[in-house]
Formats: sequence, structure tokens, C-alpha cells
Amino acid sequence: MRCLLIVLLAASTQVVAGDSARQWLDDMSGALQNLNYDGTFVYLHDDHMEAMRIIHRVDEVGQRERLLSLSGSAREVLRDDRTVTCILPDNKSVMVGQSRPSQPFPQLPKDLDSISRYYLLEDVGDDRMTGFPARVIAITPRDRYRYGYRFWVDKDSAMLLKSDLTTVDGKPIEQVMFTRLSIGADISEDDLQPSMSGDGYEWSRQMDGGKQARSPDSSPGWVVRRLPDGFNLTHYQHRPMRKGRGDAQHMVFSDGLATVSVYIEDADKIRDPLSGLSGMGAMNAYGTVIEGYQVTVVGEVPPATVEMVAGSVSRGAQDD
Amino acid sequence: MKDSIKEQLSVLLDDELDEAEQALLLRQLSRNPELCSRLSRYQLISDAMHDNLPRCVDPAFHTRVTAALPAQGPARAAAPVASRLLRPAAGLALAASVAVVAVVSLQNVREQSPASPQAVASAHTADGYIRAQDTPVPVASVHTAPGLDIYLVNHNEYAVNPGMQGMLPYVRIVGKETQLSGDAAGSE
Repeated sequence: MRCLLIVLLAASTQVVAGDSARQWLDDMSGALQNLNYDGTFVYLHDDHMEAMRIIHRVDEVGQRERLLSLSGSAREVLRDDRTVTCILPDNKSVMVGQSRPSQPFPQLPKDLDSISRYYLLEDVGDDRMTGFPARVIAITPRDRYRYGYRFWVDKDSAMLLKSDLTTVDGKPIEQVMFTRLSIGADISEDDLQPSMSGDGYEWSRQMDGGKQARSPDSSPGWVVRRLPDGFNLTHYQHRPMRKGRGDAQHMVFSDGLATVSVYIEDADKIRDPLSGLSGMGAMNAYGTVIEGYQVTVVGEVPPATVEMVAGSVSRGAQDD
Repeated sequence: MKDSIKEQLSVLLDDELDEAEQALLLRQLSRNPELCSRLSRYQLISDAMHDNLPRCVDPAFHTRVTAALPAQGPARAAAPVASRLLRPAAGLALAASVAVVAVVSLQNVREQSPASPQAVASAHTADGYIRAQDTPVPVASVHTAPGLDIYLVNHNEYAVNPGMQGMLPYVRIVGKETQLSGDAAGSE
């Protein structure tokens, strides 16, 4: 009986800890979406360090935010509820895409059991970050096919102060750390304007729309046969990636935290196809050609995961 | 860079530079990023030689550094010239050291290659997917290829994006230093 009580107590403690972690994450998500803030942070990845500034404002129109680099060329991203604009002076280009409404983070189900099979959520305890008292929340993957996270959350406002993206062993791959943060500040319209007009730049626009389809009639079906446990298809559509490039079949898989996209395009229409592994920070990609089609897998998962997924793409129906 | 400057940096770290030379060197540090960077490397080397480096990045280390940096806000009362000049330079060097330590830590993670690629054990599931079993996965060293940006921008809008609510993926794009390819297809 005593053993049973101990087991039950341990289980209930874990549930309470998981609930506490989830509450902090929900509060953090709310703060990031609903507060005005203006902060400077450093972004550490691979062997680089970048300083950036982020400005976020919420008003009757909706959310607007601006992210700009403070070192090197003046790269910046502007985003509202409809569009996202990336200004890249390095190659004198501007990319405009469709913005999707921010989802509350994370899309954790009310029942933590379904995600706790793949991740361990922990309320680690108190710390201090950027001069603020913080609560540390950890999301640890249970296998090596996904990354983990560690968040430092301001105890007063629930604002994110620092985040680490980590391997399964807890080693950081990417770090974002605020060195200055003003919460609740008045954000002027000028603060949300780009520093350059983009005149003389090459503009590319991701085509809007895209047909939602389970299996398009006019193209052979494609399936992904190898995925880490817990990844399920969440979106499937036919969409034009860029003018002159034809449609791409786009499948999105997610385990609730990590997301992997699979793009399938006519290889003849791509001028610079991705081949092999590539990446940017913790975002990894793998490109290969299968039966005349360019298959590109992208996701914030380890390199071996995108390579595994890409290698398992084949034609056919799901039940083959 | 002159050898005499390098030597002065080393002597500064040993706290053996006289006042006049110190004031001059600190003025140079405040105007010369390369010099500042060299000072931070010397500090790191010195810490390593004296076994002052933590075995791993201690999250509280950032807090201690932050506490040591000059505070933002109202100007402080006048202080001796050498002290006023020292604080900004020390702050820059400390911040750079923090970044260097963190970068070294991150780089060590990337360089681990425990095993060559191996077949992944798998098991069929009822829905037809083959679920990968948990086997050691090597950490590949990857680079950013041209043409990747279009996928990243598109994928970003579907990612769940823990933290920074949609902007963290764009931090990766903004943080990319090397040139991304100007994919001319589809330009308007």
C-alpha cells in the first residue's frame, strides 16, 4: 500500500510539475502576443553571434513586429497579420510572403499525455536573467530525432527573457538572450517602419493561396514513409512557390512542437536545386531528386531527421 | 597590429599597466573593435590557463556578467578618468567573453560526430508509416545553401515556433551573414 501511495504521489507530482510548466508556457505565449515590447538581444548559433532588435506592438489593427540586425548589413523582417517582408541587403532582395496568424504556443493539447510521450515538460525553478527574476521551463525530447527547449520567463510579465534550443542531451545549439528589454513601452509608427525602401532591390513575392487537397488528381500521389514517432500530417496543399517555378506539393508534419515541411516540385523548373544537407541555425534541410522531382525537407529538427524523411519520400498511395 | 600594443593588452590584464598607458590604451579600445576582440581572446586564454573556465556554459554566468556591466539609466557621479574609461571597455570585453564562451560551447556541440550514418531500425505501424526507432544520430556539419531561403520563409509560417511567437525562425534569416542567393526566378 505504501509503495502504491509513493507511486501515485510521484505520478501526481509529475502531473503538477507538467501543469505548472504548461501554465508558464501559456503565459509566455500570451505575453509575446499581447504585450508591447522593444528589446535588444544576442543570437548565438554555430560559431556566430549576432545582435538584433525586436519591436512588437498590438493595437486595434492587430499585431505588428519588426526584427532588425544591429551588426553587419541591415537585414530586417517586418510582419503583421497578413504579410511578412524580409529585406536582405546582402543580395539586394526583398521577399514578401503570406503571414499566418500566430498560434498560441505551443499547440499543446489539454491532455499532456499525447505530447509527454515525446517530450518531458519541466518547471526547473527560479533564476535571474537580464536583471529580471525568471522561471526556467524545460522541454526535453525523449529521442534524438527532435530538439529540446529551455525558456527563461520573466516572473512578473511572463515575457521571454532567454531561450535555448538544445540537443537531446541538453547542449544548446541556438541561444537567444535579451540584453535590454522594455516591456509595455509606447511603440511609435516610425519604430515599425523599415530602414530602407527596397528601391533598386529585386522583389520576389510568394504567391498567395494554394489549393488545400488531400491528393491532387492531376499529379501522382506522394507519401512519406519514415517519420519519428508522433509526427502526423497537419497540412497538405498544392501551392506555387515562386513565379515561373510551377506548383509545389507541400506537406507539413508535426508532433505538436517540432514541424517538418516536405516540398515536391518538378526538378526541371528549379534553377538552383538544393542537394544534400543544408541549414540555418537549428533549421535544417535536405534536398534530393526522386524520379525527376525535387524533394526538399525543411524543419527545426536534427540534420539526420530531415535526411531520413527525405530518403523515405516515394510515389504511391498511403496504403501502399 | 603592433607587437607593443599586444604586449600592453597582456600587461593590462595582469593589472600592471601604469596609469598613463592605461588611459591611452582604454581610449584605443573604445574606438577599435579589433583591439577589443583581441582583448577578449586574451581574457579567455588567461582564464583557460588558470582553469577558470566552467566545464560547460553556466546559465548564471550571463547573470553575473550582466550584473558587472555598467547599468543603463541616469549618469553616475564623476569618477576618475581611468575608471570611467575602464568600465565601457571592460563591459565590452566581458560581453565579448560571454559570447566567446557560449560560442565555443555551441561549436563543440556541432563538432560531435559519434558515429557514421547507420541504418535506422524501423517498425511498421497501422497507418502505414515506418516509425523510426531511437538510434544514435550523428550531428552533421551543415552549411547554408543558395536557394534555401524561399523554403525557410514558407516553412516558418507553418512551424509551431516555440518562443518569440513566429519571429524566432526569422531571427535565423536575419542572423545569417553570408550571402543568400538572389533567386531571380519570380522577381517582379
